[in-house]
Amino acid sequence: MNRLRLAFTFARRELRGGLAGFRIFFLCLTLGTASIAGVESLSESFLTGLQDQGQVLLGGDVSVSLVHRPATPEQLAWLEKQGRVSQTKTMRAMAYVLREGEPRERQLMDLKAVDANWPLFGAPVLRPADRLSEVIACEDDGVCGVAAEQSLLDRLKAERGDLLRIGDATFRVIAALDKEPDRISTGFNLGPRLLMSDKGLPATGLAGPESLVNYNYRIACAPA
Amino acid sequence: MNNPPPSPDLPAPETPALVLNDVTLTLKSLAGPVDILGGVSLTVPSGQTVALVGPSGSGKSSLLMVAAGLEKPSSGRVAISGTDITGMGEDALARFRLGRVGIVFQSFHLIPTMTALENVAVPLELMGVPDAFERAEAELRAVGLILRTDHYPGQLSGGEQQRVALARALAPRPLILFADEPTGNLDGATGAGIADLIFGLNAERGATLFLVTHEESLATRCRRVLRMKDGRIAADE
Repeated sequence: MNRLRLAFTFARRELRGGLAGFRIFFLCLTLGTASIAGVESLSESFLTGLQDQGQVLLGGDVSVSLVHRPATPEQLAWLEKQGRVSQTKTMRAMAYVLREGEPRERQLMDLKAVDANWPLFGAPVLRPADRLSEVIACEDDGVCGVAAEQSLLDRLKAERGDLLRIGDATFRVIAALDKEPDRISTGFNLGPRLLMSDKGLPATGLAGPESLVNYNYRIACAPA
Repeated sequence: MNNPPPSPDLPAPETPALVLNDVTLTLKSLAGPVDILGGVSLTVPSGQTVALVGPSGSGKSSLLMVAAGLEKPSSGRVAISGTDITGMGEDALARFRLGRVGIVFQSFHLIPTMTALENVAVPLELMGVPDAFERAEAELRAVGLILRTDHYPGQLSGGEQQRVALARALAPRPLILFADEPTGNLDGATGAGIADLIFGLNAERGATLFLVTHEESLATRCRRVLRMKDGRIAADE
């Protein structure tokens, strides 16, 4: 206790020199406190956001992924017993814009084929704001619609209504994809997103054996 | 202060105040190692006054630093009042010096935010002396500064600052007083006054005095004069 009192006495005497010598100390203290407060605040916002938007960000209550192969019927049946299931397939592919029937500009993109249940939570933002099911529907002539991020359309110099060649199939650009609800959960992407119906994917011939396809199953669990 | 004030056991009269045994000091530099002290051996009996003289760069101040425990020798042994301080760590050395060793520097080294009285009281407070300020006041009176107790170092002349430094060094009643060019920063008359004080107070208290100086007149006031050259004691008079 006496040591502490002595140290305090010496410190008090030192302070007679004024607080000017403490400028750096106070600056560090302020910066440190501000940094800690900032990190805490950011962390709190992040956690709150995850808590509130977790289902939308993940695309479901539970997400199951398989690479190279889809779930077996038994596995799928088990998943469907847990709740409503949405299936998506993602892969990287090359898109060509067709002009006068000939492929012109090309661009690597992240293709996502979705089923009718996608998304289980949230909704994509499309431009024009049509219903997704209408945008990616397949027409009578076998050409299916797609929604692509504006950056993909810009790089392909494509507009709404233009035809794209993906693999062996032809697609029509129906809308621009401005927001994908579960995009954050898909991780790293090599190219801009292109959204299509899973009914249109087989025609591309890209999702065959040895293709690098991610099969994703999102489940909205049934209330207990 | 939980520990009792260090009350240095008085050494037996025959115990030398300072013993240096084959002390060397080598400092590293970009150009390679520099030998500062080259095997200095020395015994200073208790109560003796010793002057260490020599040209600049001969190793006088380095020898004082090693002898006072402020610098560790590269090899050899140093003992103060019979206690070998060579292997002591910084904390142990600081505790050992407190109350046993007084040091006066050329540039005073007073604490600028403390008054003269507080500067003198610092070592006494650190020792846990209950009447630190009364003793500090007595020391200031002894050096003729009783009217300047509340002055800060910046308000004192060079000579007055050195007197405060001397009072601070002597306040704990050290067994040995080291002084490194104590008059080096002062004019002739002021320096002479300080020298009188050092020798007068030292004689009064019977402490050993180890003085580094350039001034021959100051050196001749000591009972023993050591002349240094190239890191060695060239003459012991």
